[in-house]
Amino acid sequence: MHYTLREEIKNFSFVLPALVIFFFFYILPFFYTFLLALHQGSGLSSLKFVGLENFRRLLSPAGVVILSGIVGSILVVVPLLRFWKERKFVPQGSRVKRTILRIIGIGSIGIGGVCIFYGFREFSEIFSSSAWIIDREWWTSVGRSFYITLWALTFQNFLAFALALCVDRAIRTGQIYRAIFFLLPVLSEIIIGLLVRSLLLPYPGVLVHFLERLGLKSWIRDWLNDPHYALTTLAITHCWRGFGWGFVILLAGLQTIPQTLYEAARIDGANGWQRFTKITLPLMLPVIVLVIILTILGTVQVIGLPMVLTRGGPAGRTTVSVLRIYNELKNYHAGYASSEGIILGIILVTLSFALLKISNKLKKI
Amino acid sequence: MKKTFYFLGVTFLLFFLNGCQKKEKGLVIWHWMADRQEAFEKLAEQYQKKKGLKVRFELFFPPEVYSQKIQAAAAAQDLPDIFGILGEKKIFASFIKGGYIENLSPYLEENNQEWKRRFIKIGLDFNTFEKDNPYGVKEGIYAIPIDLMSIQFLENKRLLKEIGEESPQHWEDFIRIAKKAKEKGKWGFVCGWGESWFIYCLVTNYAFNIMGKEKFFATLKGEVPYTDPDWIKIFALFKELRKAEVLFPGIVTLNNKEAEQFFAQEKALFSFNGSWGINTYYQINKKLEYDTTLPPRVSDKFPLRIWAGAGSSFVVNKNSPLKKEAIEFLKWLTQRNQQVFLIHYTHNLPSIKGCEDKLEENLVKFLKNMENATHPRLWPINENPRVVEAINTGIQKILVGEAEPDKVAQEVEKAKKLTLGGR
Repeated sequence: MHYTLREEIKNFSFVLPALVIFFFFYILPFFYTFLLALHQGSGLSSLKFVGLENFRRLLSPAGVVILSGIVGSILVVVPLLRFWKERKFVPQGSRVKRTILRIIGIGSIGIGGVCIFYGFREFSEIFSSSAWIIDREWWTSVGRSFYITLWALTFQNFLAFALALCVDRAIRTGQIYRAIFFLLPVLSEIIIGLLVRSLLLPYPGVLVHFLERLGLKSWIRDWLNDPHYALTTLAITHCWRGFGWGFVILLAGLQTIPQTLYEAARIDGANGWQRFTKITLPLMLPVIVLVIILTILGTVQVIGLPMVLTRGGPAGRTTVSVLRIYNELKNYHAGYASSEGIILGIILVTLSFALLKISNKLKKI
Repeated sequence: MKKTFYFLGVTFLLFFLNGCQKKEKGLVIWHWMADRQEAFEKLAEQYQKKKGLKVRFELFFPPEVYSQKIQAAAAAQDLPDIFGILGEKKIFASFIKGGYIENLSPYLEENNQEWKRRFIKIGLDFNTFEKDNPYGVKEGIYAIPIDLMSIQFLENKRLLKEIGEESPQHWEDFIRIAKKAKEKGKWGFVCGWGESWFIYCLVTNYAFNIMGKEKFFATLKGEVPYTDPDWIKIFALFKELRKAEVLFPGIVTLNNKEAEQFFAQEKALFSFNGSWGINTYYQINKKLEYDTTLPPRVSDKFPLRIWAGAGSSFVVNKNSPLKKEAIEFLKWLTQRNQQVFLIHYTHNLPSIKGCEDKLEENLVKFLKNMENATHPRLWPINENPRVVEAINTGIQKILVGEAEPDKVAQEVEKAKKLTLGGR
């Protein structure tokens, strides 16, 4: 269907308010973050342009070369492929849409070119730089975030799935369980953090007292202040708070599976395990992938809980990546914090895409 | 279709008109001091009755949120008429250089320095930029202190008497007495070291005492390494504290409020805290008998310095259309009557002279030792936050038994070298 320019403008005017809001509250801050990442300073007075210096500190020169190469290539190749397709095949979409896409494409090629140029300039630095990882603290904090994520992916999601399976069978009481389990994620991270902190503090030591009463003195640890346990305590608290999300989504997924499939399988002689592996799991795969992606995104971005529970301590052992970004911002290192945010964002987007691809492949099997 | 267009048009018009409505003239003040909001509101009422100008105090709490709020508002050119700035002098300077803050020197000098002469000197020094300062800011006074603070050692007088000891003057005495308290079932020392800046505060107190001002500043300039024996000696003090087993359990993640609570409940003999804690102590235990003292000396070679200065200060927005009114309000707020009102309401030290007769006994204690006061804002150079972070994390490692002082010194020096190299 073809529209006249007048009609196109008229149609476009309907989405304009939403676009304006989207532009000011999403697009503009998004690009401003990239711009800030190329600067040093607080963002209050003059910002000093430092190019890729922040990324160089974060990633080391080798990392800058690899990242700028990959990002630059994607930014150049994708629009070029699109232009080639447009020339070869009949153009798709309206004229306005094609024009906007062309402008975006040209911009993308320009930015990609700059990235590749910087990457080449940085290449010589690889051999001159002695330090391969400059900001070890940052990468350690990323590692901590992923340690908690690992706990969330395994412990939290298994717990959520197991409970969802149980509740799915007892569907009459399902609503009550749903409400109970969903209560924790609805509560603020701060409240949960304060509650758990008051329980785990070595003094007055509510948990310590409880364990003593049970005759489990050997179990007593300084859960929050011992560097060996602090991060795991944080991870378990996060899982305890968060499993309700996964539970609700997984339960909703389970309830979409038609009971007739199970009945047919039962008639064919399939046992419980076979029904689970041959019906439940394959049909739940998209939901499980969704839960995994949401778990990763939600856990890597955790900040409130470590702030309240341990303030990043002891000795920085619970300083996760987002808390580190926050600390940089607090110290008015807006540029560096932005570059950390971008790197974390790239890691998360890459992971999410990889998971989606894997899930699509599994679906075909 | 037409109806839809009309509907959209009317909606936009309503939004537009709403945005254009005339706002009531009045001063807007942003602050982070949750304990003072009520007092401020009462003062604002008084001011409106007296001068006919409405003043609105807007509270943003906790301080971290407040800091972000003013950062964002500065970037959006949407700062209120009066506000406060938290953090080190470099941050204060960046607001001035950004053109957000009025230089108040001319107003302080008016009428033969009538306004300037009201203040206790250290409060104003705190907000002063000298000529040729390293921040590149034009010389002047850019903020008005509304109260003072000092951070000192606190001792529980009753417990001290109970164990038959007197206030420790030297480090060895302090460790010995703290151990004795432990034997009597009390903890030796409590502090909110989960808020790591408290650690840096104590570290710098001892840096002045052990190596002296010149060598300390030379370290900040990068001329003396953190691996210097004097620095290792400072870090080793924390190892000594750990080995003596006198620290309150979980001290490395305790926040200041928790530490204040435990000291007020007489669970620990000594504490290290600021004058702002008086309020908490009073609320939790009205019978608490305590005194302030300088941290126990390690060396007699150099004087020990404590942090003190303006507790909270207000600046005037340079671009405010009510700049003159804002300055008039600050002049009024720093008059004796208003300061006395604030003292009684918030238990803070006044920023002006002549209120000593109105101070309660515990507040007077914090006015002691002011001749030994210093503060990073008064130093010619400040340490890079990344190095400060390395010091704080390193000391926490010592406190939990993860690292030795010399290893921490090496880590801090590494961080210092990175910052000196521009990273």
